[in-house]
Amino acid sequence: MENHACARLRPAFVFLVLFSCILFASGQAWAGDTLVGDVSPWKNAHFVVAAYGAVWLGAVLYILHLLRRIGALERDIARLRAERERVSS
Amino acid sequence: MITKDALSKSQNALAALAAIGFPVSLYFIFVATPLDAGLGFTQKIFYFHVPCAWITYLAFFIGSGSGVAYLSKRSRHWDHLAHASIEVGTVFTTLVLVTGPLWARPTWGTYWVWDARLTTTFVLWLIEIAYLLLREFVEEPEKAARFCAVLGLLGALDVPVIHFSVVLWRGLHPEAVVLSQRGFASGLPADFLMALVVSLATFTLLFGVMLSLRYRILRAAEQINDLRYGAG
Repeated sequence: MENHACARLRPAFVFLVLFSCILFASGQAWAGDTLVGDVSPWKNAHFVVAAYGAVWLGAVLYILHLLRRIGALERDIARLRAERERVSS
Repeated sequence: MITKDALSKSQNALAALAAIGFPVSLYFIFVATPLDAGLGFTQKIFYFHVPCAWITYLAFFIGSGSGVAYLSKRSRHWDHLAHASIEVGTVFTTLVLVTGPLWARPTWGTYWVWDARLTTTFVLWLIEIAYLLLREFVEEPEKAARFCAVLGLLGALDVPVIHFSVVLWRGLHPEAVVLSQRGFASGLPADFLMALVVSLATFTLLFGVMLSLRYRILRAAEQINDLRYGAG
């Protein structure tokens, strides 16, 4: 289950990283009118990238951790059930 | 009672909606919303800092409510829900404490000040860590559930203090712009509000996915205990 879940998440992960890169690379030219002419669109952009990266990476890592634990626990449950059936028969 | 299959289906539906929500919220944050006149590009942090803070509140609301339900009904279901909610809430409180200073550095010139909002949020994070440690260190599950329900209730008292800290005490942290005394989102232009609402919805879905996964883990662990010690 763990591998299956990881395999399903991987394309979504790659898509979101590429999508984020495209948005950042396209710049703020799309971002409507700049309200103050002298505000540089890229000023302090690394803080935004770091903050967004922390949120996104934190969320993905936590979900992967949960999926791995579910996989391990479900394998244990299947093993214990099989043992129980063997003993009772 | 939540069956395994139903839970998996709801998890899949939530995960699919959250996966759709992420690129949509990115579009609204970085494309559809103009730059803020005063803060420039760093204002974009607002769109994931605030949703993380909202999830922190929501997680504590669910966690403490489930704790009260456990104390009155003594059902393991409520204890699992409280445990799962507080643990997922801890992840989001950590993200609040990471994204906040990353906004503060270019805006205030420092990563951290002992402002009322920051300090009370840090206190909540410590309560969450204490809650998780209590779960690990108290060996009897019933006793751990009872202690944690009480600690969750004490922690919930900090949530309104955090929210109103910017009104009660003067500090550097900006006042609330969504749930403020002047009315709902009165200090936010419509396009900024739209981006925030989309982001809030996406993060709420993500919280739903995490909460259901964590709950399923706790149920699975309980099932293993039952199989090992013959209770089930």
